[in-house]
Amino acid sequence: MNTIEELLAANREAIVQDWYHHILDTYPAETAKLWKKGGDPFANPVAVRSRQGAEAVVRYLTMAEDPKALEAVLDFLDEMIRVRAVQNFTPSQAAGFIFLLKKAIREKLWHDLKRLDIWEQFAAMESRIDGLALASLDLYAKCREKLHEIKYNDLERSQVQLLKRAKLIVGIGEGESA
Amino acid sequence: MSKMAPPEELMNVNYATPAEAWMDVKPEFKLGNYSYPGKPDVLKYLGLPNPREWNPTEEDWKLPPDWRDIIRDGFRELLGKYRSLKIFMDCCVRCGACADKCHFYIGSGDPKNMPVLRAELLRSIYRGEFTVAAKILGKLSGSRKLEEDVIKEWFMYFYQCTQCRRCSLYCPYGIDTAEITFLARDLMNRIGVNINWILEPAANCNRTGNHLGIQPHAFKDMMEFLVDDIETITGRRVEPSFQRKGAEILFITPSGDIFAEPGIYTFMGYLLLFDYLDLDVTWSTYASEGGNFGSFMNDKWMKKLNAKMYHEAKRLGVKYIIGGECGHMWRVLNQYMDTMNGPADFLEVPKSPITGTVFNNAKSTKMIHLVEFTADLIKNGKLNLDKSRNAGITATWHDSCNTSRGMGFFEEPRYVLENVVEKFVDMPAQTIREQTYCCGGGAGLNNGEFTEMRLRGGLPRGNALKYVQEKFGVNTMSCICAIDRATLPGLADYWAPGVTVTGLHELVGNALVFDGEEPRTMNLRQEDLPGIEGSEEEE
Ligand code: SF4
Ligand code: SF4
Repeated sequence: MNTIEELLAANREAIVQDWYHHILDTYPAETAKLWKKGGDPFANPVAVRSRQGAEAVVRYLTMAEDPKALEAVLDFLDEMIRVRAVQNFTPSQAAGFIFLLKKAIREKLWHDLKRLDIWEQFAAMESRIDGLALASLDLYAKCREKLHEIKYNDLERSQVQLLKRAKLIVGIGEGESA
Repeated sequence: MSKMAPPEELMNVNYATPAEAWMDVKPEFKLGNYSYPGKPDVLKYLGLPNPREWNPTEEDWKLPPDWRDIIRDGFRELLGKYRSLKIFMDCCVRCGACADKCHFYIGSGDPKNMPVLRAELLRSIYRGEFTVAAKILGKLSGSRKLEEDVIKEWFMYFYQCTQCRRCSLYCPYGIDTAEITFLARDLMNRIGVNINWILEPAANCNRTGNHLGIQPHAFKDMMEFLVDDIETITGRRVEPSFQRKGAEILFITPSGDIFAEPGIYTFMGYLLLFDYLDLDVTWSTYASEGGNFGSFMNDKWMKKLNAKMYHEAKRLGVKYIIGGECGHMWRVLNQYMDTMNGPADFLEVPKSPITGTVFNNAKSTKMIHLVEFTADLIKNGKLNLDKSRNAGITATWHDSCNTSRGMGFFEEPRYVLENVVEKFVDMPAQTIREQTYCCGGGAGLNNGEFTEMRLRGGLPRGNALKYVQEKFGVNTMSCICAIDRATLPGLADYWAPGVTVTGLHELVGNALVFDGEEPRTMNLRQEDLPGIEGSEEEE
């Protein structure tokens, strides 16, 4: 076992589990405790999405860089961020849970990293995680944009007939042609 | 490692949340997490106490000086009036069965959205003010004294409950948190702590007959627009009547159907169906609201707004009432109307003039839901339906809390839906029928300022929807509730983008084949039908 990817792969389950728990610990203590029990994806969607996302990201990091794989992993991140974007978190808290993966990796692999002296690889791995963090910020911003678009559309939908009645809007085809 | 900043510091999140007792965590109000307070003019119109400008984000909520006495006296009055309240206050064993069943809890993770804690907000005061245990044990008994912070907490969390009753389904004692919310809101109304999105529609409804304050002539005009659209689409000119004395049936639907998308397409479906059957039905511009925002305030206003339906039925001399696709209208009707404003002895037990079916389930209220009327028509082969006019749709069904959990409409809407679309798939069993997840907009929470909170509460529904979208290609979610029709498009757009929301009778209206009709080229949304010239899907 000489590369950080191999090291990560060998400790994958434990790291996923730690990170997943760190993520759930961003919620109030009672909730973290309850949600860590996992369960049905339809009864406990936040925990299940977090777990699946954590697994996908760590699996992605055990493999070499690949744009296709990146796309797939961003879909998983999107699932998690979509939830966190409407949960009363600040932007950094909503998108920054990715940094908790660094914590999980450092805690688990520190001694091995030292022993193998693969700090360069470690720095590269952390940079990949930073890249995911930036992508998460983009995803967060998209979710918030969506939220505002929804507000706007809701408003428009709720007024459509009234505007017509007030003669504030006229449909195409209701007057002379161009 | 010690030289590196720990990563969580970057995130600035204190992820070992201090394990403070829930009573000591104060709610934090910020724009977007509360609904705007009632406007003074509206309170004055409704005769509600303490009209004033106030802002939940400010320290001083300008409560009346004797607010504590008002709440205490009110609580005592309600405990005397509703035996259920006393039982709910006394019998919770804090087993936690309900804890993770609320959509707002599932979506937010905020412990005070656990139904057991939501109720505890009221129960702790009950214990602290009305029981002996508190005098001896104090805080240890789970009791506390009335402070302003308690009222703030009530405002935060009782206006974060859609009264959907999902939690009560799982409670071994049948404790109904929705009822607790209902009464907590009643108490808050007594000191002027309420939200405008409930009060203003209720006030409008009292004055003009519907939530938006649409006056009779405007209501009629908007109906004309829809009649014109129907003519464009089908070539038929339908002729609805208003306030027609002696009609057999009075039809009442939520006013959202006449002014908002996508409700207007369902409205067109109603008009087409009535025309197809040549039904002796009339509309009323006075009883022009099926919904009842009074039911989100207190029993007095629920009763008053509901009474209008019977008054108008009596005035017009109809035989019975059919109600349109509404949710909480049916909660009021099914649970309270009969004892509150009935029995409606001046009406007759509803009997379908087309099939002869007598609706004995409505023997006392004399009012039936359109979906049961339509299901009966289909069952008796009275409708010529062409599913291909809804081609391309793979539908799923959203059980609205009030019509499903509240009154047991599980089969009728599915039966109708399956008869008008080619493909229908249910969402997972634990998210439908009596276990259905709320849209997040019920009980007055479908206001603009609350969108983010509503999306949060809408996660469980959206999550199940996304599942059937990905797995079975579901692209349409149908429902029979106006608040759903207002709320679900946004929910779908966020959690399962690409899914369209429709009312049920929109799809019925599309599928209905009239004798000797002009072939249709578009649906009620004026979108080209698949396979028709100009349709993009055929290319
Ligand atoms: S009634 Fe519905 S919204 Fe209210 S606490 Fe129960 S599950 Fe939650
Ligand atoms: S399920 Fe019923 S008894 Fe159990 S905690 Fe909830 S309300 Fe109390």
